[in-house]
Amino acid sequence: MKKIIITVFILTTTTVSYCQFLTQSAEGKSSIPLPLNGAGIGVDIGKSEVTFGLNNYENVLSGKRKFLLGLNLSAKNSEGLANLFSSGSIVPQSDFLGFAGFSVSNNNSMIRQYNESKNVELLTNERKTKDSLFLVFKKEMKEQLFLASLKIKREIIRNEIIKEITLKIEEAKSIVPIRKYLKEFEKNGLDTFKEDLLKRFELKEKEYREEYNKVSTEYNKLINQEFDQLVSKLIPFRSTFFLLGGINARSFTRFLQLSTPDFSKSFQDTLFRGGTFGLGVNLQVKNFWLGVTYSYIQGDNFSNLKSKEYTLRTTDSSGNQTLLREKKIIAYSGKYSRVETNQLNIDLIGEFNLSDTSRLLASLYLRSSLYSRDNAYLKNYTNIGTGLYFINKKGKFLGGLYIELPDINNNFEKAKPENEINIRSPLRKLSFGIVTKFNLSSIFAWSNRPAKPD
Amino acid sequence: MATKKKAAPKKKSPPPKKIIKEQPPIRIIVEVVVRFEGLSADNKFKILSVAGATEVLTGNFSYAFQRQGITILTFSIDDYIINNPPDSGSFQKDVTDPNVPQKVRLQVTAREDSPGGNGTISLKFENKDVFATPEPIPFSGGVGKINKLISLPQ
Repeated sequence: MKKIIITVFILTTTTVSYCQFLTQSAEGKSSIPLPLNGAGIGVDIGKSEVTFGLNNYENVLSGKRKFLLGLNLSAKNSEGLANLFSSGSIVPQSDFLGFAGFSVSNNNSMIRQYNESKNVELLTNERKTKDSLFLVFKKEMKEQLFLASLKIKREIIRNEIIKEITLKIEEAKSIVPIRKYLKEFEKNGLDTFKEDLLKRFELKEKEYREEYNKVSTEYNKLINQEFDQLVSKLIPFRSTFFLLGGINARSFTRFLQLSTPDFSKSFQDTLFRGGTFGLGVNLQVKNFWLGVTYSYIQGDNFSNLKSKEYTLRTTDSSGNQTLLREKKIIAYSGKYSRVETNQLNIDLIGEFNLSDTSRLLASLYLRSSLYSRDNAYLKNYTNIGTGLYFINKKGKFLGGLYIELPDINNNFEKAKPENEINIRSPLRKLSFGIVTKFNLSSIFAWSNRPAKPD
Repeated sequence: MATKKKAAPKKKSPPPKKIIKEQPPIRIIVEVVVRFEGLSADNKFKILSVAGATEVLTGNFSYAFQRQGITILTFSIDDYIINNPPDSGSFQKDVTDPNVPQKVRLQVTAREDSPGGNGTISLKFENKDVFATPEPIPFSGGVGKINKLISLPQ
């Protein structure tokens, strides 16, 4: 298994290590990592996790589809990469998650707003006005051509020249080809005509350019005003409703109790299979996002178990010889049981511009495990917190900080024996820190690579 | 009853004399002009003239968006508007500015789909880059916008 995981890491990190992780669960442990661009493979070296995802969310965002579908498959070592290399500890865990939903946005409405705006009307009018100016220029140039052509004595040649240049003027869509044509015009014995025509052209060109620039200046001011006004009226909105469900499995070794005389019977290989089913909603209005997911979890209290490393030595003796065998065992001790719970995640995010080069994301979140079917093994808890994250204009995460109030109802403390209970005021319980990675669960399309430390 | 008088026969007039005027000789000049001009690679308005026929081609624009967590709603050069543009594409459009360098108006509107969304636009005119580096689309209130007059490469 170790070899397989290491091989997969090496292969995937050197070939297809492109992935963007999206939503994650309340603890940030079992994630719903989804690549934005249809399909992809992701590798989280820190968590020794390999993820494969497939979805159509990109089409949903662009408005091509309203129904979203996706699946996600991940496999990881619960003990992380460090233990994988240092001690060979492998607690294989795999998750399979699927989701289906429906998303509506006002993209088309905003596009219509743009197309029906005064801004677009001005753009069209500006073009028409400039076209008219050019038509006037052409007409005047033809008159100037006639006047200049009087310098050509032979009528037949004069008519031919007028016809040829008139054709050029009429067919030109801008002044550039006319200018180019006249400057390159070469005919024997028509130098005086060319010189005169060029003078007339330059005069008319100057008049035309002045008029053109005048129109540009006037429209520029109006268009800027109307565009700003239009953009201020655009209010992006999106609502997404989705169902999610999946199964997961974990294989680990439990330490039951010391078993004598055969110590090896103190350990038991345990295979856990669980599942989840839930629903969620995401709402976006302007630069604010609200995400809520509510799920039923068929899980266990694995997170409460304590991991210990054991060394089992056996000795075989024969005569004056002794053979020592040593085996390292990572086992989990503590009361273990499957426990069903419900899970509620809520995130509210606002995005604000700090300067021309950086933005601030402010988030409020709630992570709650509710309705534990067996309080003796897994307590209910609710964590609330806030985070401030700084990103640059290109979306690169610069850093941030978070403040969290864990277990606001003190359920974990209350579960302890009476003489060990130490209920502290919320202020003294606050945990805070600098964030180098973060995640905000329950928000679909949350495309940040980093994740908040578990 | 009155009787008709027999009309007297008309006297035949002598045939007219042929008068031959001397005219200058007619010269017919047939001039065929075959011309091929103005087809340089960097000429944004290609003028192809064969035997007097002229075809004026418009300027060729190509664009590419790099985006993450955003959707481009509209993209326009002057009044040439593309709604819901794909991530890259090209089109031809007249550029009428008589100034050097020529200028056109670029407008982009976009929306943010996820927090931290961002994007840039790269634009080429006649295969020459308009921006030295991709132009970022600034966002505010979930809406991204670009509205500026841009100079086209010569």
